Amino acid sequence: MIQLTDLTYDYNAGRDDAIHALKGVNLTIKPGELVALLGHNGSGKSTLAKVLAAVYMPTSGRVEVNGVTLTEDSAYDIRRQVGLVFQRPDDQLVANRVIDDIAFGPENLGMPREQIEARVQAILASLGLSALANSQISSLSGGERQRVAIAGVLAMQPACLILDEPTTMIAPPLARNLLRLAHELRDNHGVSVIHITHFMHEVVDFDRIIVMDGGNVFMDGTPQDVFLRANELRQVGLDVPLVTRLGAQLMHHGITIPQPVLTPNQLRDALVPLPRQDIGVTRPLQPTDQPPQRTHDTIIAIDNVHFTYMQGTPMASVGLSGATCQIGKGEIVALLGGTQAGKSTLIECINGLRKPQHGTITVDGKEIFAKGYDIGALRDRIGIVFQQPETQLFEETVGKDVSFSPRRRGLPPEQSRAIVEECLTAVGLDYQTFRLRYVYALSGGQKRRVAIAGVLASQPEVLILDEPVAGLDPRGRTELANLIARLTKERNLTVILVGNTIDELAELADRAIVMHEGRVVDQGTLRELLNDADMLHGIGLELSETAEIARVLRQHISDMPTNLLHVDELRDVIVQRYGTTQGGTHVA
Amino acid sequence: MSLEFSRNVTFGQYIDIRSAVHNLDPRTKMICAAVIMACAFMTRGLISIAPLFALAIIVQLATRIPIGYTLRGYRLLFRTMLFFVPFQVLFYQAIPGVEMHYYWRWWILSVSYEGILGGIFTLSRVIVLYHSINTLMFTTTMMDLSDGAEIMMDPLKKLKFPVNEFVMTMTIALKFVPLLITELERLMRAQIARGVRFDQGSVIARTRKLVPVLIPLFVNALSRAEILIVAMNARCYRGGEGRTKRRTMHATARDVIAGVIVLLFGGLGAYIGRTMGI
Repeated sequence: MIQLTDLTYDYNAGRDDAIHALKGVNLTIKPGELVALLGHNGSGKSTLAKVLAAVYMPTSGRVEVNGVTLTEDSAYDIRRQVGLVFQRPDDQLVANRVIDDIAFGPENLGMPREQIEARVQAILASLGLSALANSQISSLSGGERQRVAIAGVLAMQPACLILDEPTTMIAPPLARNLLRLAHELRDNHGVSVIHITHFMHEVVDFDRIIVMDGGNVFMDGTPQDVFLRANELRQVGLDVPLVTRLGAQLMHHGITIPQPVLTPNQLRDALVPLPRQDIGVTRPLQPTDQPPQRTHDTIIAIDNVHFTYMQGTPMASVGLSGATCQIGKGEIVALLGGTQAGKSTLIECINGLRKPQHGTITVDGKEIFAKGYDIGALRDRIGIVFQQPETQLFEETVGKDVSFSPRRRGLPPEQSRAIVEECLTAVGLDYQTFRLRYVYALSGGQKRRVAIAGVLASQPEVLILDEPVAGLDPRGRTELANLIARLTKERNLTVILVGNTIDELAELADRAIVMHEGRVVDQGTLRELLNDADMLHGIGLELSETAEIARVLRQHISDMPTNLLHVDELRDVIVQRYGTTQGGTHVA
Repeated sequence: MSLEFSRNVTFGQYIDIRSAVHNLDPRTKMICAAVIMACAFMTRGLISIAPLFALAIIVQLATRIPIGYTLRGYRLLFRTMLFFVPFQVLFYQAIPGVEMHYYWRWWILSVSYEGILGGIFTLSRVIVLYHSINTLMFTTTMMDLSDGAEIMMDPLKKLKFPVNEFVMTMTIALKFVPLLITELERLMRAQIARGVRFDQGSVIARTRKLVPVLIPLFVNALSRAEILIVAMNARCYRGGEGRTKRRTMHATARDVIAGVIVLLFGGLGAYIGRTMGI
């Protein structure tokens, strides 16, 4: 049992610049409860986690865990009882081997050797890590590392486990595994789990949702309670899951289903018993959004490219195994695939950063790895925004960082200045305001924009964006996606958007290329691809929430199309089948 | 430029295969490596180094690490030696009482049969030294090395030297090395993609090009370190006092056999070197 009474926490407590992060929180968390902690950035949720884990000492108020009140002296007792798992597992792993890391906590507690051994073995077994016990942590995948990090905390036998935004930085399938694990921990270990997240759909089957805003608890209840109050959630910058919104709209159209709908499965089960008009498979409702039939001259041609990492060492691993595709001049292409599909390897090959062991890459008909080819000029023409580009900024001020490329190319100062101004404006940052700002004082989203401006400043013909919205919260994602949509429309660029999700970014593309296990397995417009949503799902590609709902509905509604991009289309398709009195459906 | 530093830098890498050498007690391996090095210093010529060279080959085979991979790590060593060995041959000083066979002589420079043998001897010695350290790193995890070191440094605790904290610091520093290398590769790729050529320009120009890479590298490393501190605190780390260990080290019959083999070969080399000077 965790009890918080009038808890406050100030950063820089007692000083003029104190920030009141928590303003009198009262909460009780029962043993074995699975709790979601939601709130936008700055709402106080991460601070709350750190105070709970006795990493921060409260400014005032009381934290009590299983009868122990948090003081300087009892901090280690509380830390043992409340485990904290961070966003990036690499940051919290201490040892090199799995088993040694899991033993780290119990060793710190000074437990006898045999007890540590028994406990570590039990944790390994229950988290399915026994086979990896002696593996090097550096050889594990991201998902496995996260599991090890959790195992290390569980080995302390905590009463409560806090997961601090563990799903923000990882691919959706890994996030799902992690959530399943959170449920198992509650069921099998009896610990209470507090999961901090920005993503609503993750928490619909939790026991309880706590919404924070401005350092206070704003809402506290079951998912059913909280997600019925969509308007209040929107006030604090959050939203209900898409399927919940859809459910409410269907109700509005006279389809009586219990509210709130929290999962695609619930929606399916609610719809199936209702009377239905069989109208056969329909085509998508928006005939106008056929892709423009531009004829493209090929700019980049990739032919049967093979690439193996660490070739000739015991650590060799295959990145590409026969990838073939073309990119047309002025085309906007989505390069999609699950983890380890070879997308990032492919774009690094296109830019000559990695040399394939086999196969050819030509740009404008010229082989880029041929002798005498000017690879420097190629890199000026193809700009890449890498994953998390904000971690690659190096200059002191925004202006200097963005002007790096013009300066390197030796452009005169006036021209360089004009380019910087133009590029900053293009990413939605005012030149005068941001030119002299310190890079390290910007927010994460702003830094990412600066990094994109820096790549635009090299005035490339081809712009490659590698998972540009990954790791941002939903608001940041939407803003950046809108920005990229504008960039691709306004500038006459060839654009390659790399991603693992059929999201609003992928929808910008004229054409999508799907990769799996180092090869191109499918190509076409998104709608064409979505016809076979099950295949996409099967190779680990993440469907948009809309397509995922459609895919689940089709399991019982055989004439349900899955080639839908917008939730409004999905609503109309359902209303066509289940609507009662509506005359015509309107297209949004 | 493919930018896979870890592909060519093999030194310090642990190769995760379970061979007879991997399974030895880390203390045995550390002592054996020390014995081999000491013996190598006592050799005097190609004949005395021969048993140690043979030992290196036996150890190499026993580790089951591909010979090609091991040799990859010798590239830098060979390049350096290619520079130094000719000097040794050219400036070889005649040993009093030994007749020299000269092929070529000019001023104080010469090429002699003895000089060439001396050069090969030096090279063999360096290989034996490098191989012993390299094999220790290839076959022993950081955790084993640090645990071994902690036990061997135990007497220092009496002098109030914070052995556990020292070893923990070293372990974590080494744990960060592969992470930082990956990070470095990533940052350099981003710079190359922005048109920077690390392989062009003068030494000063090349060094200056590294600044944009090193700044984010340090910033990211510091922020990681800050989180790690919180993480270690949250996992109740309070230094070595009151801390227990899951792992124990047992020397077994295998360790005794390994020790005997090393002593036999090493001792033979050292004995020949000391008594016969060849």
